[in-house]
Amino acid sequence: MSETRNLPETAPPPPLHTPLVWAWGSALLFATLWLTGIIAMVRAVIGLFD
Amino acid sequence: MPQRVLGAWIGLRGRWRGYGLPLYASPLLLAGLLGALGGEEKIVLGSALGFGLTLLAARVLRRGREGDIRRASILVAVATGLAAHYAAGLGTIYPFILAFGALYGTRLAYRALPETPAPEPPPPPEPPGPLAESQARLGRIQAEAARLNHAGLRETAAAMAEVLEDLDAHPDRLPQARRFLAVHLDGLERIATRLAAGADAPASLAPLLAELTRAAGELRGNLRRHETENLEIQVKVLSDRLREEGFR
Repeated sequence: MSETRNLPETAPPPPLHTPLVWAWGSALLFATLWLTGIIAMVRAVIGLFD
Repeated sequence: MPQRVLGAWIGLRGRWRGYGLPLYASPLLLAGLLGALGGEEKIVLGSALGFGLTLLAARVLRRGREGDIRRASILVAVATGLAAHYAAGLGTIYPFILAFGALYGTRLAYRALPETPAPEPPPPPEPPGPLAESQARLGRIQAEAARLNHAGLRETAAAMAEVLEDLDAHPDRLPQARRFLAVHLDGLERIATRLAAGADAPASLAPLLAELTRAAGELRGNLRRHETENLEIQVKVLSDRLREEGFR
């Protein structure tokens, strides 16, 4: 007879390549949000000399 | 071993999550400042919206509740889109592309970080008991009686308060007293309201209040007598049962 117990479900451990996913996400943020800020800054600098 | 290192790293990132997000938007601060110096309102608007929403997203991320990474990524996407449209002047299509990239990037950058389940909503307040309304009404009458310094009204209210105390301790007696509460309490409330409005007490008021006080005492006696009768019946039934079973 097998014994069944109501154990809480544990989440599987994150895969080992998770830091690579973080790096890819950070790169995407740089290429979008940061780049937008840089473009805005360049526009603002140009606007100063116009 | 690598799994333990990753676990420690996730723990560290979980504690510091969100603090790095405004760094991505930091050029917008400078852009806003320079835009303000150059009188470029759109750049100032876009920079303020972009940086402000990113700060909000960082705050949401710091909270760390279930679904907060998704919410923060949407905020970052909106921040990027608005900044790209207003501050960077990238038109209409590019801001959408950049916003999508920021949405996806935020989700990836904070993947696998622990999120705590949202706290359960507080339980709804308990519905007032059947006597709560009557007690509240009597409380108001007692306050009026004290304010008017009316001895008869005070005595009647005190007698009724004793009835309510009895009923509060024995709610099963409530059906027998419901009519009393409806008629007497209602009447006493009307009297108190008129007196409070400045009416002069007629000569028949004192006997009426005495009658109400007596009725309240009588009701308490009746209720207690009813309980005594019930107890007598129980005692008789138990005695008969013991006799039938041969214990007596």
